[in-house]
Amino acid sequence: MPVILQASDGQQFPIEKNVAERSMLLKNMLEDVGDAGDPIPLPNVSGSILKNVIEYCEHHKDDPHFAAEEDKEVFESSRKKPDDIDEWDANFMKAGKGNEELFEIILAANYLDIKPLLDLGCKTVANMIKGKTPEQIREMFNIENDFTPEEEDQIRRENEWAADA
Amino acid sequence: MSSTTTTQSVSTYLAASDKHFCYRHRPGNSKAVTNSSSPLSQRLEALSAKDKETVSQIWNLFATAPRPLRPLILDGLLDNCCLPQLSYMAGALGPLLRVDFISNAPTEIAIGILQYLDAKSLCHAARTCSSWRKLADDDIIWHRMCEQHIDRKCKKCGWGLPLLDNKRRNHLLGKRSSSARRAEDTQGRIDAGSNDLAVKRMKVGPPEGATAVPTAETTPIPRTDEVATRRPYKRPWKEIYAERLVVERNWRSGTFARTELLGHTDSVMCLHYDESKSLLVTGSYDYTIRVWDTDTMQCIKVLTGHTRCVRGIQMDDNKMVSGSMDRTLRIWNLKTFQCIRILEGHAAGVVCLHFNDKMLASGSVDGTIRVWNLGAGCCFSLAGHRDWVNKVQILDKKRLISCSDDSSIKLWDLDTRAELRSFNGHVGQIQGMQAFIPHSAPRVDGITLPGGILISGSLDNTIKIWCLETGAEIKTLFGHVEGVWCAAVDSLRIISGGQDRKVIVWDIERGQKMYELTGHGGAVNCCQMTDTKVLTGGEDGAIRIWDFLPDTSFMSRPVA
Repeated sequence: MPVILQASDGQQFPIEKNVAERSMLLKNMLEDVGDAGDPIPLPNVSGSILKNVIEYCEHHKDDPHFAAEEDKEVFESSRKKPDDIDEWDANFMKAGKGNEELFEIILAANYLDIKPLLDLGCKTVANMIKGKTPEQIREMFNIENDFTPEEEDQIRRENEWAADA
Repeated sequence: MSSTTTTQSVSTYLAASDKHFCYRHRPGNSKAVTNSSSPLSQRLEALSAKDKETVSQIWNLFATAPRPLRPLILDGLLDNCCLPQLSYMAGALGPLLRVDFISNAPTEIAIGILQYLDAKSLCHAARTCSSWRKLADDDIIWHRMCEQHIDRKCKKCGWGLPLLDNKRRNHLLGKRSSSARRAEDTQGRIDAGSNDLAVKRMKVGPPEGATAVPTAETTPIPRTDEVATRRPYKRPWKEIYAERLVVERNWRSGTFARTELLGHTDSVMCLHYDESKSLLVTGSYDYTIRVWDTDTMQCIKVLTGHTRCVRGIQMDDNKMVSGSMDRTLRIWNLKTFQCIRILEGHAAGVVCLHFNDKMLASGSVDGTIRVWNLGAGCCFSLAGHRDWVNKVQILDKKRLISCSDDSSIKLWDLDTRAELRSFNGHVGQIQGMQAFIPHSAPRVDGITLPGGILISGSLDNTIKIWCLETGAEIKTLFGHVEGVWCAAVDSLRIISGGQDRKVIVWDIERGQKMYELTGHGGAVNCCQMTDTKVLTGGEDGAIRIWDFLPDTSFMSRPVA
């Protein structure tokens, strides 16, 4: 029997149970209260974002679960580098997604407790920051520089040690 | 189960804020919310009353339109736009679509993003604005950075940072208190010492080419100062990371401050440095032992008693042991610097020694090693080397390792007193040797050495790296053009000193030469390495200290 998710805008998504279970929130809920076949309302997630999240969960539905904290190390060491992103995941994050969408996906992954998707989102944003100057970072994220020139100078000196790392 | 209870249970799981705000209109985002002082309102105010009403009306209609209708309204507006207006839209959308993830996400997500950054990017992030700075300087992130890098090689970036000695931590805890203590102790030692005059002898003419070391008076500072500065203080992890990165970078680039300690009137043959006490002891062909305070770089004591060259020296918290070609070992009280015991028994000169708590091992010219139990006052011999035993090292309660002029290294079982293994490969006398057993297995040239690493330096001009566990020869390092007299190893590097007057710093993982430290006017006889320093003693009678963290001014961060 499919699980029906209902987005904040009322859109409904019938999905397989093992897809829904990529979300630890839904997995625990289904285990504890069972599934009566009623749509599960997700008031924090819009239809378009939920569609993306489901696409991710569909692709990863057969991945092993790394829920418990003690498995975390196994999970992390199984990857070659912490910032290595799987090709499908990289394309998933790129495919026509703007910053706002990426941000909403991260928030949804956090809310639904889908750790691999949350990590993927965080890594994607981290890669946007990497290798940029402070000015380029401000530009990229539309950040207003709220430091006084004195503060800015002091903070620059404070961080100078990392300059040619 | 009835559908009503399910819905209730579900709602407890999915409990969320009643209202879902989009990124731009969430209450916390001050930048996006339109208010009366915004440029938009100002532009509206500038219009005639009629136009103002029209524009407001259109805006309000859109603002109150239900979400599903909004795309349709926008599509209709776009349909009415001419090309210039469309490109105006395109230009205006760009910045609006840039989301400040870090300032707007919940803190744990912001930290989740930042923890994937490298140190340099984190420092750049900290410079963008105050809310980013707060998160990018966060102790959790820098603690993680420290965990990934300190005392290990980070798998991500290949950098490993040193695990700095307590000394430095104490030092930064209260620099004044430590120097105050030192000054008092120094004063105390000189006053209590029986041969004050000896102190003055350190100014005996330096060997040719050596520069004089500036002298400074040690002024006792009142004890109250020490108490006042000893307060609980927690260093930010970022500062700890910064300090170690600077040390590691200095090691890589060969950036250091060099100090010369002059006083010995003949070759310096052995030295031992205790960073936590800022104390260096050296033994020389001039028959004396000198004690140096490395905070002031002054010789604070000259110890006499041995009647021939002092070849081996080591100290712990309470005592110091010295070995000499006069066939004796002397045990000294480290507080009063008085000789409290003389160990006789070797039939020939003592070349080297090493002790570990109550067990003392010494190697001799006649090829024997003696293992002394300082508690019980008994001793036994290990026989097997056919020539001078140049270095001994106690590995643990059961094992000892030694190297000799017979070109072999031997591993001994201290229970059976038998030879466990011989490491053969050098074709010259082996003068320097050190075994190192770190908690994470060292790697050389891609080979992991689980039981620890052994290095040796020989008069065949080479240094060899061995697997301590199997005895396998891993690599031979070529670089010295004359014999190697001494060598030392830690988790990141090997250093060696030779007849060619050079000290060479080697990268352990790649097994390659990094650079040379030059300055000694003669052969480099003995060396020691700490996380931040190389200390060497030379045939020219000088001791040189190469300090890779001479400057801590980069940590000028004021306490918040």
